[in-house]
Amino acid sequence: MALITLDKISKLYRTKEIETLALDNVNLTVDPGEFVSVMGPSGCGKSTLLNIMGLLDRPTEGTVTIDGSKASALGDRELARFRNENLGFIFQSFHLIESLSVLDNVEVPLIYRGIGARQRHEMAKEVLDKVGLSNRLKHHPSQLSGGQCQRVAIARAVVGNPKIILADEPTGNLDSKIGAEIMNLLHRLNTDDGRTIVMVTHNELQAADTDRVVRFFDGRRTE
Amino acid sequence: MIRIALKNLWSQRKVYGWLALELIILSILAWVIVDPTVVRIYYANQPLGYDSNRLAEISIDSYPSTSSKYSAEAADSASVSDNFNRILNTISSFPGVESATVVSYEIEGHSSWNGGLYTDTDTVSVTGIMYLQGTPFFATYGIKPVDGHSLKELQELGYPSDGIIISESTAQWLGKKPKEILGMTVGENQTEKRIVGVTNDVRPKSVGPNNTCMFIPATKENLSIEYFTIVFRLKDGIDPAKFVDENRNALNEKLSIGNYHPVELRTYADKSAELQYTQGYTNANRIGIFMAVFYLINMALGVIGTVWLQTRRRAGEAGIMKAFGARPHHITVTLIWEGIILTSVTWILGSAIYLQYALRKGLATARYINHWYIPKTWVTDFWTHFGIVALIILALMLVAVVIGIWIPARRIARVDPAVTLKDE
Repeated sequence: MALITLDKISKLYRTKEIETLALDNVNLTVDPGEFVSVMGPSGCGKSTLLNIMGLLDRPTEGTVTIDGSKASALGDRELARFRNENLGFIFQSFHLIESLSVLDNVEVPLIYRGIGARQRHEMAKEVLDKVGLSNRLKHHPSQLSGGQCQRVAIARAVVGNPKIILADEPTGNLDSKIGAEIMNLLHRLNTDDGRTIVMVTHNELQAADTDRVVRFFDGRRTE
Repeated sequence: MIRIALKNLWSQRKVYGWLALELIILSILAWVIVDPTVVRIYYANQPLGYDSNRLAEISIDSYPSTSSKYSAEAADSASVSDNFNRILNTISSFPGVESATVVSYEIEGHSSWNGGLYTDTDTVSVTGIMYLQGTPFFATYGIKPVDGHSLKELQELGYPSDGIIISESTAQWLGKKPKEILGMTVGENQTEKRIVGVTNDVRPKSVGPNNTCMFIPATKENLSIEYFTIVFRLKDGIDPAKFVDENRNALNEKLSIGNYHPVELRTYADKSAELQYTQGYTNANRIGIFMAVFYLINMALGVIGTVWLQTRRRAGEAGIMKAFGARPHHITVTLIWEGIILTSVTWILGSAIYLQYALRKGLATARYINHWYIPKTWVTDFWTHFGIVALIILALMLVAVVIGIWIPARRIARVDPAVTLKDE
């Protein structure tokens, strides 16, 4: 059974002057343990797709089913809990909280799960050790390189042991060498831990290394 | 959430530093404005000790011998005494009037009789109020005995000429409880007086908090009956203002007896208002309250505006938190905790700074008082006073800060994370 199912998903953005159809009748399934790349030109709806898949945005039409649960059936409270327990996000701009240290940033998902401080510390340290940042626990994001920031973001995404990781151009702001390191890390999470990863990318080489590539154009799936 | 709030505050201390400085200054200014206002409001709401809502008074004067209305026949002492009694009886039996008494140096009057009572060990400054013996003075004012006497007994005691009745606080200042002080002899102006009764506390002037009184029963000979004031109590349910309006002409006519004629008929509410206005109390209160409201509104707007902007800047951070499972109330509560912690710390610092001034110059106190014999309340106890006003100031600051955070925090907490992350 598919872990993620998008069924006839459409997303229409409406302002006073303009209507933009970001996604048009998209169908997509992702199986457990798959590493799927989503590709397409700028403005084709890739990030919108990822936001909807990650329950950060609601579709105008269609249904999103994740691990058997229909997103439309979940209220705001349940959605927040579902995101916290099942999904991890990695953003192109890292989106770390500047005012918090590396350790505190990684602990954020655990706080909203109600986990106690000591256990949070242990879990966060363990994950940061895996991504090679155990010597940067008290640093702030402004004191880290781009690659290090993205590794913190990856640690934050996986600390709560989610089934699914959604990565929106995770190497978009990094040079090729660091980008390759990040991709290695993601592949390890996929193969070693069995996590399902959906990644938006512009990089053909990186996409070719994944299990499947899904292509979009003007809001529609082309491949 | 509190831990995150603390970390956020510390890590953004350069940004929050300016807000903290603003709040410290506001906290100090709040002391200057709020302390006297709180004291003023407190004293204005202290019980008078008598029932002013049912009282009215009429002043009676005599025509001088040069007046065209003067009657020589009515000027002999027997006629004067007789006419005096007729006037008192007319008022006492007038429809709507429950009881009446004749007073001198009356409660809320412009003139005061200030004296002192003393024993071997204690002294107290008192306001003297004289009333015509045999008239229901205490019943008219609604003043009650606290020494075990009934009201009837209090009024019908056959006072010897050296007998006085005092208020409960007067007894306390003389070191005795009400029942203990009965029969005690005290010095008063180089004479001796015997205390024959104790009443509840009465504030002789509504413009001040002092409640040490001495009630002196007097004969007609002791009172001036050329010009006198009758205070009367209206029956329950009768509106004093309406009574005065409807009966002014009738009373003017009925009380013009012999050389006596009414001068002024008014309610006690009007009497108090006039006293407070002429003593500057009303204007001082208005200015004080206006300043306080003006300051509080400006403080609130300033603080709300500043924290509002700071909160809105953190919409992106809210989006990140929501992406990882935060619910709207997590975000709101975290931001509000930051405000609470910051406000509390700055309040402590501001209050500590003001404390140095207050220890030298004192805290706010009531106007128009005899400082030595002001009732002992939280106002007169330095640390209790400081604590209470400090908490009021903290509450005011917290309200402003929490409003300034809560409204934008709710908004950013409810925006879709996709929108805020896109903007970020």
